[in-house]
Amino acid sequence: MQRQLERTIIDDTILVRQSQHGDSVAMGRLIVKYQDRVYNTILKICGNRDDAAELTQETFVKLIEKIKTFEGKSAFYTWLFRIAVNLTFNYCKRRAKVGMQSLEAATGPEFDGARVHLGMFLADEGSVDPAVVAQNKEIGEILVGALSKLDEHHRAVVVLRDIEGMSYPEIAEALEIQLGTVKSRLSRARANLREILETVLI
Amino acid sequence: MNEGHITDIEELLSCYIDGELSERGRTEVKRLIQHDESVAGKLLKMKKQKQLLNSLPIASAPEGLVEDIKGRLAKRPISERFGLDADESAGARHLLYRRVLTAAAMFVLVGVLAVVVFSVIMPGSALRKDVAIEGGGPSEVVTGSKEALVDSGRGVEAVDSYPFKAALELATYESIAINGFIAKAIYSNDLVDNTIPKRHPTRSDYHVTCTTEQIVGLLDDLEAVWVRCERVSLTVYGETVASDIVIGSVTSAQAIAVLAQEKPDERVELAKNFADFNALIQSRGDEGILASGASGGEKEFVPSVPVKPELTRPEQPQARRDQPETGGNVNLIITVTGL
Repeated sequence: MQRQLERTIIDDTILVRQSQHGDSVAMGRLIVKYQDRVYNTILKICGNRDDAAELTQETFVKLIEKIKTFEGKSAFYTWLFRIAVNLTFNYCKRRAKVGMQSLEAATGPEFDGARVHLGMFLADEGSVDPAVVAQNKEIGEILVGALSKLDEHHRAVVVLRDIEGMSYPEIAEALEIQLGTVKSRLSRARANLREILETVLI
Repeated sequence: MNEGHITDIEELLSCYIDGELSERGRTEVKRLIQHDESVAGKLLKMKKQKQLLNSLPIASAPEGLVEDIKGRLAKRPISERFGLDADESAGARHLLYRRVLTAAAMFVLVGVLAVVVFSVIMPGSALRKDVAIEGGGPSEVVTGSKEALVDSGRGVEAVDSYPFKAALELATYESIAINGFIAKAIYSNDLVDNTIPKRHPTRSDYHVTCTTEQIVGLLDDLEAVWVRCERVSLTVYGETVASDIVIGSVTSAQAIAVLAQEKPDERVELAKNFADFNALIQSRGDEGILASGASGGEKEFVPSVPVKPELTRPEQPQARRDQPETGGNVNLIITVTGL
């Protein structure tokens, strides 16, 4: 895992350096490499596919414009996510109520089965594969709806940790906050999300 | 268990499921969940919640994202698209160079304009002129500022920008009486507001600025002064300092005739004639011509048709001041010098 991360960083360093010298192929490779992860993160924070696509484009446009200013003090990966998250936060400020309808829609009768299923999974110590549960479309919508009920800072920290899989120091770099703040914010965000889910589950 | 403690447990469990605790922290959490079922339940829910979120399907970016980004970049202005490159390009330097040049040219233009405007509107600009100095004859010409000549106490402060200027000098042994007479004449001709009197140790100046008609009226009243003066001369300032005309032993009729002329050319022509004529009289002796004039019942001789005078000094081509085409206002300096 550590070796893979190191190779990723080395690969990124080479591609970034080439991009800084105007190599459009290298820049294209960087975009292709990170487009899904950036899009997925933005989508989970903003909750709207079209807006997520727009914000992803904007993120990479900014990346191209700013690539020469990247000094390598942090990992390219966290630097890129910082751009993405900041753009998404700005978007969230403009549309404060984004995602509210998702959870309300997920509380309808057609979601009853999914909610029961989800409640049992969370309380059960059984060995049900979480990936199988999460592949359930309705459960996925309930989870995303619950995420959208968090404020954007809590949402971002949960998305970066539990979905994107970033380490605490990487989250601290991407969100430009202290490591201690990452811990406390993540703890509170998880507790809030749990409370939100408990209100939805049957 | 207080609220702060719960928060600490939440954070502890959160770090525990993320593998971010030290060995000691992990041991503590294990001890906690062994002795407290609620903590164990909470930890289970947290783990499950994390697993679920981690297992959510990863949404793929829309197809053609790279093309969309290229299209988006193409829509942006070149300067915005290439950011730092544009600053470093030769085109940008050239543009900057042109802007600097344009700004410099504008500054120079504004500076020249300011100098021109300043020279036009500045009151002091009219002071630096050539001034004719009385006392040394028409050939004595000094160039300097008006103030400097006034301070010297010997100059005729004749020159400012007023049209048609002349100086009448009266040299007399009865300066007190003559000054009184002049003051009375100025008063009776209602020229008090038009006159600036100046007293000097040996002379008195009256700067009179008025219309031609008023100056003629004043000189009419001053006719009686002539007989009480030893010398009377009239200086008519011409286009240039060198073209100033001094009429020696000028009579009151001659002075009136010159000052009454409306056109500058005629005024100058007549002044020259009188100057030559009076000089001729002086050279032949007063008895000759003046006696012949007196025998005809005339007090003085005024030629009706001026003869072409000979130039007493070379013409100077350069103009000293603007002269109006027609007469009008006159600036006459009457100087009474005590003998």
